[in-house]
Amino acid sequence: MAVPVQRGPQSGEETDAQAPAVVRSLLLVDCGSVHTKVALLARIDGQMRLLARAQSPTTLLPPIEDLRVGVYEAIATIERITGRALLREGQIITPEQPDATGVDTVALTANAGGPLRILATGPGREALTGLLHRAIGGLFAQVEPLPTIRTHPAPSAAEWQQALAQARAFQPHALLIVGPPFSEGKTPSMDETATQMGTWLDGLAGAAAARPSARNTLPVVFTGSPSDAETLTLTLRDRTFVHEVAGLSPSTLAPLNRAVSALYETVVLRSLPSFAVLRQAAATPPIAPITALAGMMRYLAQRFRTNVLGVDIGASSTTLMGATANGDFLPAVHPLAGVGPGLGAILRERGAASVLRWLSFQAAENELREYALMRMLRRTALPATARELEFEHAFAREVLALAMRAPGSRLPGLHPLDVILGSGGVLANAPHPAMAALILLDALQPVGITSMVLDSAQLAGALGGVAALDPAAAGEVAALDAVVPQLATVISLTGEIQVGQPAVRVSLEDTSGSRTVAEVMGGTLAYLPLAPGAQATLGLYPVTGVDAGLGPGQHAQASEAVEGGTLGVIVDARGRPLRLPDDDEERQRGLRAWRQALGLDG
Amino acid sequence: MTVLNVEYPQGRPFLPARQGHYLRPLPPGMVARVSEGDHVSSAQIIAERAVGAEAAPPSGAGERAGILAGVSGRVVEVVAQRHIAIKGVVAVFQGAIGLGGQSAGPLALLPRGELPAVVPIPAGCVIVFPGQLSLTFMQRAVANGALGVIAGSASAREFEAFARTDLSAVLDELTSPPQLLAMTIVLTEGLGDYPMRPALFQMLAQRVNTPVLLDGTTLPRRNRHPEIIFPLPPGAPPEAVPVDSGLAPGVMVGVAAGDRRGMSGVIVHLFTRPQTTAAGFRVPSASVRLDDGSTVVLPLHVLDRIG
Repeated sequence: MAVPVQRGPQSGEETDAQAPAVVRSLLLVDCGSVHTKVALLARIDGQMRLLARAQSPTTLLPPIEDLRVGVYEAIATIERITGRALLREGQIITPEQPDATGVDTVALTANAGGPLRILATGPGREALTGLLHRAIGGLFAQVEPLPTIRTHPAPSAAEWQQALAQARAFQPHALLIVGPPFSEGKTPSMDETATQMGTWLDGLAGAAAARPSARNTLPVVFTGSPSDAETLTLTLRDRTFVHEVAGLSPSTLAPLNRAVSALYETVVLRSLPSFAVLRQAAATPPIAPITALAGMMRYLAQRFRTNVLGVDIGASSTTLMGATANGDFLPAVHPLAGVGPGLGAILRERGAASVLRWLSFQAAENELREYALMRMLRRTALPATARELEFEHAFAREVLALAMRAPGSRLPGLHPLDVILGSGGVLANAPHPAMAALILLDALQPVGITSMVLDSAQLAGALGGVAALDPAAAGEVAALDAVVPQLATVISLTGEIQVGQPAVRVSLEDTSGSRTVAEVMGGTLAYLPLAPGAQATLGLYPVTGVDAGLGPGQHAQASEAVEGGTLGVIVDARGRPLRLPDDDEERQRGLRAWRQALGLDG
Repeated sequence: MTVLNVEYPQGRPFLPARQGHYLRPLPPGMVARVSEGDHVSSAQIIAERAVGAEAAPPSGAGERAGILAGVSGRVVEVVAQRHIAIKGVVAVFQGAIGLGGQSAGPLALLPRGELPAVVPIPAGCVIVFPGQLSLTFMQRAVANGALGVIAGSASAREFEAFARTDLSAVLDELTSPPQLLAMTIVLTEGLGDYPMRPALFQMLAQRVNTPVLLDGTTLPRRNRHPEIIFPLPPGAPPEAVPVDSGLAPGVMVGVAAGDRRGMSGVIVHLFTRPQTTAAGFRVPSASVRLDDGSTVVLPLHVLDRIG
């Protein structure tokens, strides 16, 4: 299965390092907003395996404004762990040498520079919003509408300045003009749009001049008919370059995706200090981890003919990437909210009360705000106490809810959810796997039978970058090293669940004939031990009106054996949607009971 | 259990001798009284209100009559209505969070034993307040003409109420920092209820009546933190840069997070294997002898090298 390579027309300006036909070894380098992660992969007995990984702080801010420092520090750690020389005279050794030093190639992902900020406008924008989100949903881009300003009569100076200030505050990297896909000739609206864009570009160039870090002219991407593109290009030819791409339609989403992806590299990534040096060693165009995760999810969905959801809770951004067996792709991204410096966005958009409701103890809003603000101030911090850890995990639940409802998200319609892959530090580094499982269950609320896996090596995103180079190698590392062992098989009930009353009887019969039977009460979570790698036949006997994924009250014996995991089999009989009691004491008692059911607080 | 392989920290909040260019903003109506090439002392007035100029609105510094140099050194640039740049060597302590722009003035301690709600507040000074700052005290300090406050901590709610802003939006640079505050505040330990670390309080107490320069600017996305800038005598040698921020046995550290935030001590031992923290993470850790005599195991990510 070929994984889509996110490569734009501009990326050819730099030549990719040549990778050998068969990659023997490679370095994955992922420059995150807070941490830089590096992993060494190499072929062992014909299979690509993870040899070592390391991370160090991303060095993008004063006093060390050089991306290489963090990357090389992490590589040096890998050198110490493996005894394999990877650096020589400040360069990554490529290709792999006969004495087994160096690596054949490097796969680079980065979101350290933040998202590509795009102001979108145009006569077709409102009608094509859904397609627009589908086209660029898998990219690390933040799209805001260009402020609306009337044309007849002309706006007053004050109105114009206000709109301009609003646009400047967004600090855009590019303008996206969405025209109707099939218009013929020069429509009056495109003439007007082109003239307006000229005014906007002049105004925003003035703002850029006042900010030394900004560019003086914004690039423009236009999607629409060729005749409209010509109108626009003629009007703006003295101001900027117009990237023309085919008009948006369900079958022509890829050109805009490629154009925006290319802009991300040329505008955001290349502005990162020393990025060009790292770029030279890479065999494929660098991409954002979320784009890489998108590629990985599509690959897994196709390879295993299943519906998968990749979840990456980062420090500054959060990504959900759904992919279905029949080729649908359902991305949902919040580029500015994460569990780290991105906590502020969660506080502002979800409110402290939403976060506090997930705590199993009483805490004041002020204490939560203090934690969040201090966490924003100290980028590389980790929770220092158990109380802070629960704050962090409460924020993680809410940031997933935020991302689920991101503009254009179609994720709530992803059903059945066969596999959930959890990634990102807050999940991968959770002191107990049950904490990660609870975060995913509470926030995503799957129904039916779902396999839950954890990207404990934090490689899933970066492996998407490898998939562009060697899909089989990416699949091998994912299956053998990155996401093993499985976290749990989860059975989530819906329907008429009565709290405190039996909801389902579950039987597990392992290969030796040993049988475990549990009756699970409504409103509870239950845990049935089944070791990682072990298989058992699952029997589900829900009471009337309760659905275990097969229809209300339908009994079932699994036709295929279910696999165990670190947390065995989890039965979630809390119902959907999950409702938390309003009463503080009752809610906290419930949260504690659910934690205890999965082996926490014991 | 997961083992995190993370090297901390990147920085060092106390620098005994940092050389740099220090920009002293000129509020509207202020004119420079120095020229490029002049040598200035920290207590010297470098700008005053122009004759006939109306009182300008507060500009982050409450220095209404004249602007002190704040640092000793040589004037390297004077830009009318913009700033005066002074090149000098200073000692710098980075606080956790601040409000306001720059202020320079003599340090002042408050009389012991008096309630913050009634204690007399001297005008034209930078007040040292070692405990948790209250909204009432912040408001009284402004009303009484204090130039700045250096405090251990403040509640987020009261700090935001005083600044009349959502600090999360300020830290994310979605809104401008409240530069129009008539006073600069630097919290050395951050938000919450934490006392100022004793070593820092003693250092400040020893410098009562000598001028310091406060800068409340806090922009974590640019790794910019509020600063307390102590002038050093002219000719003081600067430290070599980059300053060693490594953690090793024998170095002094401050605790920046967790239950012991605000305490300081000396590293006794660095563990070769990760240790489990109170939150359950297995991370690189050190055994630290704290100033109160206790010896505890702390994760490296909560430690800042301060000496």
